[in-house]
Amino acid sequence: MRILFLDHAFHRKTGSSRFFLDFLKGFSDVTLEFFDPLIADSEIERLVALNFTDFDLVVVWQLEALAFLPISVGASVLVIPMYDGSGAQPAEHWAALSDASILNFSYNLHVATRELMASAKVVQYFPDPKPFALAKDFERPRVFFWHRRGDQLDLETVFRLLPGNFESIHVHIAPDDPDEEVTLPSWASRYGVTSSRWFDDPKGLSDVIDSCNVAVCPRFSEGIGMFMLEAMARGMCVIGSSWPVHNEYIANNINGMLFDPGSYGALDLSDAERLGTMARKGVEAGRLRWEEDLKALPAFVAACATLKRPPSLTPATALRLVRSYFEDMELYRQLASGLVAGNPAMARALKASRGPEDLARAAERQAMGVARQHLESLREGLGRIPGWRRLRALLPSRVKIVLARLFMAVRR
Amino acid sequence: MIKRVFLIDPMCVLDFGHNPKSLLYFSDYFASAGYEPIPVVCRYFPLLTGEYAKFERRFDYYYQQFVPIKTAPAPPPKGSGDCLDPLEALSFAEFSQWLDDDAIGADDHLFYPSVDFYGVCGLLRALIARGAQNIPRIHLRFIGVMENATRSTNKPLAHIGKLLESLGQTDRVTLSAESPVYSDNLRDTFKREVGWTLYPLESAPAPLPATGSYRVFSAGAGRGDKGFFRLLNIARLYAKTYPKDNVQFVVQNVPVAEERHQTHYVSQLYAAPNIDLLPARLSDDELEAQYARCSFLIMPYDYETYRFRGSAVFMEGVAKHRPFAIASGTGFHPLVTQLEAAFNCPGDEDFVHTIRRFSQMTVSDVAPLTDRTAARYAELARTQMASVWTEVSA
Repeated sequence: MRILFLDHAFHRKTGSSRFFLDFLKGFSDVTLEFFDPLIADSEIERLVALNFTDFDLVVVWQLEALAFLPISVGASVLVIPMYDGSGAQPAEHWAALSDASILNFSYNLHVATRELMASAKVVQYFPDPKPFALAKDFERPRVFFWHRRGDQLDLETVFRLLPGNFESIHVHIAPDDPDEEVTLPSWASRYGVTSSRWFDDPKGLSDVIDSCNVAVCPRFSEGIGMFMLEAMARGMCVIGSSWPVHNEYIANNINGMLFDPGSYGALDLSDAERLGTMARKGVEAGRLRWEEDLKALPAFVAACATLKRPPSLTPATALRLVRSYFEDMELYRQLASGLVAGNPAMARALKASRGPEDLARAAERQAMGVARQHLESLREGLGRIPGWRRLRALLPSRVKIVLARLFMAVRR
Repeated sequence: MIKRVFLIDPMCVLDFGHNPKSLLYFSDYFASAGYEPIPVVCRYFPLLTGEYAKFERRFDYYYQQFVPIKTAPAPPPKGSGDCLDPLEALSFAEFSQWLDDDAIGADDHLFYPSVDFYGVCGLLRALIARGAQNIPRIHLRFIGVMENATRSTNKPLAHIGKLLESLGQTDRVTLSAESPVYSDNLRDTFKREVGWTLYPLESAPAPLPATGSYRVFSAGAGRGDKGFFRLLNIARLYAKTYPKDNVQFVVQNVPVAEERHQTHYVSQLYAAPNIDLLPARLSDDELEAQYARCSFLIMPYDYETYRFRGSAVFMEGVAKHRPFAIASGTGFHPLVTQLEAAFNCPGDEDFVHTIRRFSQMTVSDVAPLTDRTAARYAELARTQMASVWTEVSA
């Protein structure tokens, strides 16, 4: 089987999709293409030039909106979205992608999408716990915190969650945004706070984590949550937010602790060892389930490759959707709603999967989406008229203001 | 001549759940007692082979407003005449026709294993319309579920009571309830004798697992009234109180249509290493396999809903020789106090301690308790059926 694997360029560095790529390579011939959203325009041009139908299946990892491009030429597509990137997308987003199959690593995402896609499967990844050394010495809680998203969780948050009931805290300062400047507050040294930055050798980071027995997850939501899983595999007491996928791996006070983002009451670490032991046990059992899932996945991937449908959208519409996805999410959602409203099969699937209240809201969004699609088509059409730009420049500003207000009204 | 027993259940519209199974249990009982059992069910019950193939598919589905079923269209609108509403009029017409079509007479028996409102009203009206002649012997068994399913009166049992009174024939019409508490309650309502009948299940021991984790099964689709939302706390309390134990809770999920509204809670069940989450709907074979693998049953049922009600899971579990804990104050509370391997539990902690006690016992310690419980149950069920049936059939 020939597979085209479209991946986020960020994973070139983190390698977090590598395990799945390696898995696909085990039974198929995989061509890998990275996509960098920071230079989306040129990247989209590059992708459009690809011949998607040369492949039996196009697998889109994380940036599922790219799937519109292969869908528009009738290629079979499997999207693998992540909850942290796509969990907030409305149902119309998935209905618009309904010609694609979906593989979810999140139960919550699966429930939100399974009735809308061509085929759907959920799996739960677990690392092999054997290589991880077990956390110990829980009478002396030593906390590891990775500062990744200062706008979500920082050292102050960790203090609020664990006000003084620890022996030490180590902060690994490696933010997702390389431009984020992080400095520890001066009071940190009074509490035995130590810190580190990116390590050249991954073992350096691993050694620091191994010296701790409590881990605080760095973000409110995760796609898979490799840091969380590896901490659980170490038998650490893991603390994460109550948002997916943390709450799909951590059952509060059974194998870790959860807190609600924005509500940081003090957590009790007196049961840390029990929670860590249960976390490790859960990873051991989960790993066995994941290995079983891996055996079944090739059949699912092969079945996805056989699902071929006539294109539900034109290449021009696909291009418009993909561009808007990377430029203006609000515009993208309106266009996707418009696409669903104009396609009876998608509209039916959406209707069947939603309750009456959701449907009323969806109908509003769809009406707005259809209007927005017409407006965008009009804009594109006018843009193709020779000399239109000059003509537009000559229009009296009063007319432009009226048009802009009309445009904003539709947008609202 | 072998006498016919018609087992009536217009609410039996799906080929899973306890409606079709209870028809089979009672059919087996009547067959073993020398009768010819004929289950008569909703006309939209799926056409099947096997044991369900013998079901006579007959009545419309009267309960779209309460339990919508996609495979059963809403009945055609009709005038209500003297009846309470059009649905009762429809049921009256259907039962009258059925009594004629199947030539049901004084030598026949009708057994209604789980009374539903429109079905029983239609039947009683059809019998009243026949006059005193040619009335079959009838037994109505109330389980506290669908006999109240109407929006046309706020006193459905009083309405049924009036029809019973109009029919008279108290020597040929007997009543029972599934639980002892409900039987007392109905006796007060109907001002006449109401017996008490369990499923007539004989002991069918499934060997208790001797190795592996100690599996505690909460059978039945995830429903709030069946304690679905207490299970996480019970599992959490257990893990906290007895961290070294290898106890696994086995839970059935909420139905797919409801899952979207319960994702956080279900995520937690999904995440807990000491919980196995099963689909809401299991085939009979899958359910049997789960019973066989489990060592203990729990039923943390809601007091308000189960105040008078019994439980099919309870009865099946006892017959399969499984010890269990059930919430205190259900319709089966007095029965549980008589059984050695069953326990009424007021709170989540009580469930935890009861499970713990049994999990520390060997199979050879538990088996005599469950054996005696199953034997006591079977004897009680036989006596009850003989009492309500022999009396009617004499």
